[in-house]
Amino acid sequence: MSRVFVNTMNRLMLPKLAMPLVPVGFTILFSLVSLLIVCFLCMPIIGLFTSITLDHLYAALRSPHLRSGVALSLFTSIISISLIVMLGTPLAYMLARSSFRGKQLLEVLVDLPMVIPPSVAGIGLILAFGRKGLIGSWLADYGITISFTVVAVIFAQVFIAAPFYIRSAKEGFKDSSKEMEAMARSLGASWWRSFSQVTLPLARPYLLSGMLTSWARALGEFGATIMFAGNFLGRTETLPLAIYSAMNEDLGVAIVLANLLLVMSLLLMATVRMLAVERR
Amino acid sequence: MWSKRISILAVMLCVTVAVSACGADASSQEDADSVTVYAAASLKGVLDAAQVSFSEQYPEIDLAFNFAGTHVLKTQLEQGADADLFLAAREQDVQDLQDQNIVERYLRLADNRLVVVMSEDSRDRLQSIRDLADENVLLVLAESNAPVGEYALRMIDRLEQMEPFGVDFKERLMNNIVSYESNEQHVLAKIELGEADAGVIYTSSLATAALAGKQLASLPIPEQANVTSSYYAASLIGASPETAIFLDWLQSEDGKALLESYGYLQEG
Repeated sequence: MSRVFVNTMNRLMLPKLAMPLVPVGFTILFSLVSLLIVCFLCMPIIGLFTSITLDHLYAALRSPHLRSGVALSLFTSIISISLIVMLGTPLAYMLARSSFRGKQLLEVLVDLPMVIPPSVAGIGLILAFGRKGLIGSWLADYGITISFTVVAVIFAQVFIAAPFYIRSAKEGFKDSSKEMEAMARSLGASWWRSFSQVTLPLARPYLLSGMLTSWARALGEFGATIMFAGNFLGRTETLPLAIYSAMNEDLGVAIVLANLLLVMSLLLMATVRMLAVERR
Repeated sequence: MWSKRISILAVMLCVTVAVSACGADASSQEDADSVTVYAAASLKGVLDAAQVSFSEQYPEIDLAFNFAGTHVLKTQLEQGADADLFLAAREQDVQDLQDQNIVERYLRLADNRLVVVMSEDSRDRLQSIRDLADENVLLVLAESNAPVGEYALRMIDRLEQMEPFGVDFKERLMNNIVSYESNEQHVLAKIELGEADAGVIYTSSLATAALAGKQLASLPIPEQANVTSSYYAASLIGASPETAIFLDWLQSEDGKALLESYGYLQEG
């Protein structure tokens, strides 16, 4: 009797939301709680979208922060993501295929930049590659300085964003590609051929979605950049830094720049989602 | 097995929340007797010391500080930040806030001058202000909308007009600037780390660093080119009654002596 009631309620009240095996009371409770958190997560985004006005747009178009910020952000993040793919792919392959002593530790180290605060990364970069740093002081003897240059911006981005790509690529190499690669080898293909013709195409959706996530993170990099690369319009002032600077000059400009970054991130994440569908 | 683990986790969570709630409770009880001060970053050293001396005389009044560049604090106050007292490094910001009915009234607290601070390694290379325009010198300033950044640019403009510096001095100097930091303390940090060779800061910050046991190398700025800046103490509308007590203390003999010992100048 009660089950019939519950089933009817499920079907009548929440035809689409109803989850199999879950009593209607819990369904309602879960929906309400979910609604709360979804509202909370969406509010800042709605706030950003709705507070933009034409005046803000005109101000932003006239602002040097927009022009140089967009150019520098695209330039640095594209170089960063290329470096990450070139240097990260072999590592991801190694981590997926081989098992060696200390692998767990290595994986933790590689993932670490995802969770440490960017300000910690900033200080770390200064102490490693700054003029007095471990490697930086040695470079300085040859007249090479990294801090306050566009190279420092790229360093910060690569450091913060690389784990997102490596993680995803690792999954791609782990998945089905392993057996297929072995099969290709058994049919007489050279290792390079089986890698480039079988493994890479199979891992493609993973590599691409890792690339896009990592790119989005590089575009948004703020803390490590402002600490290690400083803030100089047109030289190290990427879009997130431009928002920070504009915030105390003209809030409207900051809002426009924030919307711009938001749309870019949304597009990148939507693409990742579509790739995830392709993967299945 | 799992339910046991979950219950242990739940107990830990409850304890954490309870402990933090107690902590929050303790501070909210004192809320009635607290003064929230938004202060220019360049006042950090002296206000930390002021907090110690002040709470010896008035243990019942709690001081809470938020340090940042004056222009950053101004934005925060415009956005509705809840504070009692605003100690600003520029009169314009205080006036703007008064026009917006955020500041009730304000007074001039102390003055300051500028100085060029150098990293340890640049001590020998940089002998005078003129050397700042040499090739391969890395300079940092505060961003131009921060008071100390604005004053530094004004100082550079004045230097340009002076006899020994020459026509292209300003241009070469400006080419050496590698970063505009968000406030004066960040400029100082970049110099102390040795990432940049020289930066423009307040004389008080040099004195504050010396009191903390750090002897930083510095270059004096010619008197005619230097800029005198002033700090303003602004009580905000709806400030707690204790705000006046702290403000009076800052202007008392004790407060003045403290400001002086940290290298701030009294108006005169």
